[in-house]
Amino acid sequence: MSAQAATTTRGRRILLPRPHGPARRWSLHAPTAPRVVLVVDVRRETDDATTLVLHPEDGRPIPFRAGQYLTHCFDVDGQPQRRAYSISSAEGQDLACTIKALPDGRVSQHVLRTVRPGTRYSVIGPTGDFVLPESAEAPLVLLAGGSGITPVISLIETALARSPERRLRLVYVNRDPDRAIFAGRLRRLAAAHPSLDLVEHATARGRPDAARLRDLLQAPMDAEHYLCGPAGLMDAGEAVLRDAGVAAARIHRERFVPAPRPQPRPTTPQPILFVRSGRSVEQQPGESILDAGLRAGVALEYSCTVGGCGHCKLRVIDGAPLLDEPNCLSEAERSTGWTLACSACATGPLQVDA
Amino acid sequence: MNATTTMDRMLDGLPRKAQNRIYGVLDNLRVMGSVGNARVAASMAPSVVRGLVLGRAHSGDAVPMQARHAAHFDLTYQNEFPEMYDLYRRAVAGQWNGERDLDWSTNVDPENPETAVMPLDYPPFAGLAEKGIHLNAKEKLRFANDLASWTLSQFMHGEQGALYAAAQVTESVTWLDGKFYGATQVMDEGRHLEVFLRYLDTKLQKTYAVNDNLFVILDDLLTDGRWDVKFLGMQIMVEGLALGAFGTMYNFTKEPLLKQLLKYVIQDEARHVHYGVLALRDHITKELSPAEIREREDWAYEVALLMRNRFLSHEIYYEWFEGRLSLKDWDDVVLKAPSMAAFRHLMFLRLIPNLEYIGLMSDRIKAHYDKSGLTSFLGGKNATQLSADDLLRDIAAYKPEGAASAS
Repeated sequence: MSAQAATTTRGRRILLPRPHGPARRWSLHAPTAPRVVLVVDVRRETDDATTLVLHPEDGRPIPFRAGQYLTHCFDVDGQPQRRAYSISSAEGQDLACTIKALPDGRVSQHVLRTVRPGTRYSVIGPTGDFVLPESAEAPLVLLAGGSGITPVISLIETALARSPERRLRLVYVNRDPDRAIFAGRLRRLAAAHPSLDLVEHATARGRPDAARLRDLLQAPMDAEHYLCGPAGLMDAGEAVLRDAGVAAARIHRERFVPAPRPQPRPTTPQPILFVRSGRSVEQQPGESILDAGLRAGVALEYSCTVGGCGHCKLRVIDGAPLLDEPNCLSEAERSTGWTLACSACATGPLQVDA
Repeated sequence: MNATTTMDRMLDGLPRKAQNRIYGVLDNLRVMGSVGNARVAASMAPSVVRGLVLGRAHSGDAVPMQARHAAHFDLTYQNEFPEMYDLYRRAVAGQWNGERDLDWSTNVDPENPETAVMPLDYPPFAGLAEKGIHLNAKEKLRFANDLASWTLSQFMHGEQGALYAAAQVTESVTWLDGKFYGATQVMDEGRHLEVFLRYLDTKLQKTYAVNDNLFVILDDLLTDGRWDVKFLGMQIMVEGLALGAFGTMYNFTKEPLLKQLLKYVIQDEARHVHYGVLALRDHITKELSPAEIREREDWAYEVALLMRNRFLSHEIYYEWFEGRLSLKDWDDVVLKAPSMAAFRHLMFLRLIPNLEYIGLMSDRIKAHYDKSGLTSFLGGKNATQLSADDLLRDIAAYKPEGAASAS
């Protein structure tokens, strides 16, 4: 009878050996080449939030998982600008991203003011591991604050499309629930799916404290928990869940990295040595370590290109690169010599382990 | 019939392993003996020996295959073929990216019947039961997954052969537009090899060695020095086989990543066959002597029969049933399986009209195809009359007998 180990018979090989599992080549490159998209619809969700419905210009689908985001590459006043915005449509539906305009947001205000149906621009990705669990049955508890709802609605709609009876609880924290992003869409969803428990919390009554959050987030212990919103709300939610004995592996936080603050970059070429690949590269003014390495054919891993995912993390061997802030690197990573190739540049001779 | 009975009597009473060995040797001899055209037999003999007798596909890390064709270096760039150039432009525009356009984050769960890679209506469980082999539910699931791995492994090995054959054909073809087009096909085949390998390596995590009979066909093609035989073998026969096999899998599978992967591959294959038909019709009808045409007709017929009768998953037999069932009974089960009938139907639906269109279907050879029950496909649409969408529609429209669902 069948046996994985029985790879030969009559001295002839039947199965091919795979002693080390899948080949390393498959994990070398995430799907990161920019794709041109056409805006086919612009939906005003609230006074300051807009959903862009996107079609890839080449007609080929952009496969994504609920909860992931795209890096959007705009030209703002002649300057290239990249921002990560979450996908807000369910898996299998038209690609759509929802963007909330910040009062001083250079790119988000640009989107609100100028992007119209027919606009073309590039996206990179999708990226992100804020995705549904493998099990299609596990109950889900989701805490969203403000525009943190954008990946969360994609998770909810995808989960319900797969299992319409699945138990879900969404705690949605907003200044004014009636004017919140997707307020109507969520209420219609809850009406159609009795298993979706929608709890709307208005911050006009005050931000939920730990006791209130504990009350709001009540859930079976086998639930998977998703947190997305302002850092303070996510920290409070995580602390409450951990106190209640929820395993860390069942708590998923969306990494949320605000736009980097502009800072002066070198105006002259800088030498970078990629030690493992043995390539020396002159970083040109305006380039990141990633830009310079890719131009020289170094096989670098990367994904979001805006300092949010950590895929391009590499270790500095010698030199002091300038790293855009804020980004997703932890203090421990910084102190042990890691940097982000996409968000850092050499300011003098630099050697990196790549 | 008498010979079979005699062989059965000879084998009866011998231990199962000895029965299988004798059956295997006689079967291989039958393959050689069945080739009526001596020149065809002589040209195929070295590959048959390497594949069936020496079992070169089952040991070592690689097999050297000595190519004997000449590269045709164009000095004047005058030999044009606008229809081929048109195909080339379409191929350039239609390039897809195996990394970007397929969702490799798809979770392929072999135990989820809703997204089964190979649903349980594909394997020949009824035929096995008639031979006394009854599998429980868990075994059936595992068997179906092994059969999926075996089938996709053979697709992958075929694509490796196609990659080298496409490169050889690109060197030896005389039309410059054929060289342009050939370069895109080399890229296509490389990409097909990549995506099948990746699917097996990362999703099914089980890969089977190349089947002996597939190895014989690929070895024969890659070592034959005649460009038109390579062309006929690769662009018409093997691509026809691929369309049948990929189409059957496309119809049966419920796994979305594999379905999308196969859809892309089938769209490319449609172009490949179109190219072969364009090139060969001119060459066969205008440049070959009657004797040369006769030899190619016989060669195509022999390869068609090999393809129809010989992809019998022996590797699966040895892994699962050696000791419980004779090899001969296994062959009988597989040949009568509804999924095999579906494969044969889709393969010959495309192959026979193409052979007819390029001029390899004289009344003489038609009589042989008729004896093998294959002339019902005559008069069908050839590759020049079919778009990739037509192909996919035909494939989806075919509902194999005995299959509960082929969506």
